[in-house]
Amino acid sequence: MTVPVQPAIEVIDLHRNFGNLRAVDGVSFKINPGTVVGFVGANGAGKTTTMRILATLDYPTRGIIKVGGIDVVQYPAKVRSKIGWMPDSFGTYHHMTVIEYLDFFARALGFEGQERADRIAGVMDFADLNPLSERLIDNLSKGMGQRLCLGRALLHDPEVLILDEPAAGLDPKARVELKHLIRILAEDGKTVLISSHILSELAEMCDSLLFINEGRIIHQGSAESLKRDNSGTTLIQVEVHGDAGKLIEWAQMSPHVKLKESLKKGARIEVDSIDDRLVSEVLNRMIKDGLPVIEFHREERKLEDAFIDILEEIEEKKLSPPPLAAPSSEQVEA
Amino acid sequence: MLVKELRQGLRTNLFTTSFILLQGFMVLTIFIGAASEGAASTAGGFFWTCLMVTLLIAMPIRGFNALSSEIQNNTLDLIQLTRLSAWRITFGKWASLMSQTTLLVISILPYLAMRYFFGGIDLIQEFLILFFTFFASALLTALTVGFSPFPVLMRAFVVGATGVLAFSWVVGLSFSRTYGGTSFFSSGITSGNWWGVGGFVLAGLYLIYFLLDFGASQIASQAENHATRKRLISLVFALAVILLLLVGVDGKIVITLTTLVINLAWIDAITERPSIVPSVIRPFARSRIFPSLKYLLTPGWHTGILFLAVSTCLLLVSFFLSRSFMLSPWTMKESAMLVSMIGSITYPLIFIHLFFPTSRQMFGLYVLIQCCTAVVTMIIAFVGDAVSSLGDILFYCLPIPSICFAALTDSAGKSHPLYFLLASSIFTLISLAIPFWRALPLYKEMRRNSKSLIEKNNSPSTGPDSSSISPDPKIPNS
Repeated sequence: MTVPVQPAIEVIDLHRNFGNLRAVDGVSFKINPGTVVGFVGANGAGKTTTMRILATLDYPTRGIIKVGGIDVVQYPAKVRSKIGWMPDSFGTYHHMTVIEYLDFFARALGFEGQERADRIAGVMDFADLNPLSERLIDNLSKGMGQRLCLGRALLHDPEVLILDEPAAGLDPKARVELKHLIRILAEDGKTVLISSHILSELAEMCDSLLFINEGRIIHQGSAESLKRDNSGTTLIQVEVHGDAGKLIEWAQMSPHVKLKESLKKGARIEVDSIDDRLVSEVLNRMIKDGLPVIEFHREERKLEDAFIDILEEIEEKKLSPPPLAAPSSEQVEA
Repeated sequence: MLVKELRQGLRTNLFTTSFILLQGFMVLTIFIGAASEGAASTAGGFFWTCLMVTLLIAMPIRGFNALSSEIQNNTLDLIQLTRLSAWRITFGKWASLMSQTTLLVISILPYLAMRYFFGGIDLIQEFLILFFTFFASALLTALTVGFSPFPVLMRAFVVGATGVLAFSWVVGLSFSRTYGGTSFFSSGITSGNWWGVGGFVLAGLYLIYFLLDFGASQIASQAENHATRKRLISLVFALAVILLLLVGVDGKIVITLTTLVINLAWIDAITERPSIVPSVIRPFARSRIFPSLKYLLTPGWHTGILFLAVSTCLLLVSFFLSRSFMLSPWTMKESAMLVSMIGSITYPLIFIHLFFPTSRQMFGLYVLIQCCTAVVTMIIAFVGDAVSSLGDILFYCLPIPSICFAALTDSAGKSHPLYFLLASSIFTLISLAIPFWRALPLYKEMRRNSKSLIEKNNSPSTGPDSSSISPDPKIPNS
């Protein structure tokens, strides 16, 4: 007999209204302990609002939200001891060094004496902040600042980490470092909910992804399941010599072909079949039609494409007219 | 918080510059004083000007940035997730600024001693002035820190808010004028009125507390309840001051202090943001003795109007009892003034609840309306006094409660107190009835939440895992 696992985060029918605006509109999801979950959505989709409610910084209009089985509305103080929060914009203090910053938060969290020193030393080691300890926060780069912010969020060794756009504005090196730190945390058994616009990065870091749009969860699943192409189409990236305009024009005119994205030296096209024979025919036709093709290759479906496809699907559902109601017996008689 | 603020504060350019400049001016003062005997008074003037500019302007003005900087830098959320309460954050900011002010004061003590040795000063008197300047600095710093969470525009309105404080002061003085005789201020320390001085020092301490807690409640999360403490302390303080009548303290002092204290508490209570979240309601729901106190002491304007009504009754009873004990009859004029004072406090609620019912800046609107009314009142009173043929203008403007004060002190007008009492009473009742009507759904929501909490408490599956109570969606959030 298996013992049911207590979800690290449980959200049931979460609503948050700001006046007439429904920022979050019936969001429900569960996250198991020790998993890294990416929270994906456009600006204004409701990511930050949901995360702020989880972090006890905002109140829901309606719904049940639990962290480690504890209701965030009923017992915000208890929940705070279980979560580490990293906002999208790292607030800086002027005239303060890195070690003073961590010391302040460690004191504010109630750590005293040797325990405080140990906690600070622990996070400084983890986030590689030792070389920066005496540096003023004003003089830190964005990447260093994010590492410091992550260190601050880990001071009280929380079970759940809520990271809102931690990679925004970071240079590639800092992104790799941050990704590495998050993977270590996941291996350490921490539950991480992380939002980002960069889907490829999330795919590498996360066990599963939550897609949110207009305050509603529109998809939940692993990155692999999203990349797996269920659409029955084949994506091909084509590079041509010279002007890519001809290729784009050709793609727009050709049957079974849809232009997905125009590139600097070519385009990404979608063939509406996974049948190799049809794909081959399309490529042959492209050569026969005189396009100066240099290179083409079949592409794995990008997460961005999956996300856009899901959004398009929703839009189509919205736009399609409702099914006609069956005529009543009276109408039939008439 | 204090450690962090001191670390930051002592490194700021403003503190360093103030410190160095003050030392420079103090040395200059000593040189001026030592130059000739006649220059002692000039040196004294220079000494106090430098000190007062530093203590009453430069240092308090730093408080304006205290909490707003945390909001602008997005660090307030991070602090709120720690164990620091909003009160500790606000108090820490104020204490840090006052520590820096203390450092400045201590640094000028050697110059004060030097001035004494050069002669021509009364050291005790100088120390007294220094003490009161320091005290005023503490009060002004509390004012700037308390208002610092507001937006820039609102902070600019602090001048207006100070006007409200001054208004409370004037109300007290108007009241005291009805007793005849000189004002308290003209008697002061020189006549040995130590009760009065002590009372005003206590009122100053109360004001410092109140302004800081006011600031704290602006940055507090909805789960924090600052209203209960603020309202209870204000009420107890006001009642304690009234009881001073029984030990023979001057009635003018008592009334001035009471109105000052309770007016601020009322204004805060009737403009507060409502919070009906479980963590706020729970202590009251669990209370077996006074569960209904949640309708008076939880945060929000909806409980604020009930608090105002109940505290008014309590204060009136105390006044009547104290006056009866002293065999001093209560006049209709005094009643009219009291009712018009309450009406002056509550009447902006009519405009707010009728025209701006969803406003999230209720306090700002309140201050704006009061400032406008103060200007209108002054103009009407001035015209009424200056032009004898228009003397009746005061009478016709009676529906504006603040006019009552001017009209009641105007001996030439048609000043039968009954008219004033009626006009003020009607206006006050309307200004309480409108918000009360709007508050009914909130009371219902409170009752529902409280009932759910009690049921949850009694159910066998109590604990953190039980279901949530949703707060009122109508509540505007921070």
